[in-house]
Amino acid sequence: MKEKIVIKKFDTVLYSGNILNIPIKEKVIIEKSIALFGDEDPCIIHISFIAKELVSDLLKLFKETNSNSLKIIDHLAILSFIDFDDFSNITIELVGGK
Amino acid sequence: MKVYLDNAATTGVSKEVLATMLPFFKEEYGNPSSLHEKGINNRKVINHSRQKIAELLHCQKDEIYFTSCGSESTNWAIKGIAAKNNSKSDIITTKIEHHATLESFNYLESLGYTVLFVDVDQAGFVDLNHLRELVSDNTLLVSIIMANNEIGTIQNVKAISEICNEANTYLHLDAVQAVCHTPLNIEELNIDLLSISGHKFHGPKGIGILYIKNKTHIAPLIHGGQQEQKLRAGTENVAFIAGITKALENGISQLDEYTKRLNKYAKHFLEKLDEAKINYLLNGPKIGENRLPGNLNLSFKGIDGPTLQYLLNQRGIYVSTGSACDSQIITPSHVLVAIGVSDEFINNTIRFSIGDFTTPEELDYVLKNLIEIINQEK
Repeated sequence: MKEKIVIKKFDTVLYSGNILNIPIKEKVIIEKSIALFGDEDPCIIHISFIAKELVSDLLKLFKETNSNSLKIIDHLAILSFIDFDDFSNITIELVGGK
Repeated sequence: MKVYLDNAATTGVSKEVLATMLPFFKEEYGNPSSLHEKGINNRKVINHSRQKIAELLHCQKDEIYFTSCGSESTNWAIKGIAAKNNSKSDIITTKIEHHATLESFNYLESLGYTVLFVDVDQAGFVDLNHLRELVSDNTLLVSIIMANNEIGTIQNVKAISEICNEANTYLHLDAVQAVCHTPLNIEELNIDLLSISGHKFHGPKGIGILYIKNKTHIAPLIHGGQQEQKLRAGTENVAFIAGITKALENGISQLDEYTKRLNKYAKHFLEKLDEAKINYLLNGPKIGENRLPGNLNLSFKGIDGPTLQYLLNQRGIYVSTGSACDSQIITPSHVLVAIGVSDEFINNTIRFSIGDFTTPEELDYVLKNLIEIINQEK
């Protein structure tokens, strides 16, 4: 998980950094925590585990689509966990490996 | 393949232990305090178990008390001694203890006791000279983890015990990780209190033992019944008492072979990492008589522990990190901090704890995947 993620809206960079630190909706974390741990109030270690689960799905998606750049709106079933209100014209890019 | 290398966290109940316990969930459910056949039979089981455990640990049967777990045993030992002895106010421990000890000491500190920490070296061994300096006429209790749960350090208990006896202070040993993993003879060690947990050696969870030397002044932690010589109230868990006894018997009977086998596995593991030119640090003592068999606490350069744990989990390999959660940050293990592991390595740690049921094929699978992941993450 050494890769870097860049999230852009047109040419504006909304996020650039470690893949494990991409912004995740709090609601998704809680839902996932309930599903995985039966806990609506996860500790930081569990939050970190959940983030890895979501990131793992994201990495799989890059691999399956054989692409380093995806439009979020085309993959909402997997990518709607990313913490933006409006996904239109937002792309997510994997830098430094796949 | 699924490989469980988290045996220091807990072990699976062995078939033999399970078979020993099952009748007590079905037909043998009597309360041991009842004066009818079903109760009397279970009283007999408890008494025989206590006798057997005393023989295995080399102590008297009336020095064995059943509890619900290792943490209860440790809490009882520390708080029970403090509650019954008011004339001394210093209590001594190390910074590499289990939280059951550290939090009990914190609690006593809040009541006015003075907590002193004896230094440990880079491998986790108690600094005996420092302990000699710290003990005084005012020392009530010294509590030491006999075998460290994270880095596997097995203390020189005899030397610690001599210092405590000279100073006329109580010595409690947290032997939760030690029992069935390293030889233990209470009579030879000359200690006052010793905590044990069943699930660390293929017994069930929910049962522990506290050894209390005769004539020790100790108050109960749980009040409300006559059980355990009026010192630990609550209807006895006969199934688990029978289970922990069988597990102890099995563990001690095979200890020599187990130790040789697991040390061989651990050495093989490190040799393979060396061959693959993996940059790692073995935390704790070198493999041998002063380290728990099968304990490999390793820090890998360039990959953080939780990520490595996650990636191993994805491949069916179950291990631990020593990390803890402190509010909104993940903090490194207090044990690794105490032994001075460098910043470069401290967050990159995985504890592989090989167990009795681990096979060479499983270890080869782990090594293959571990080396692959580390090379990918470089």
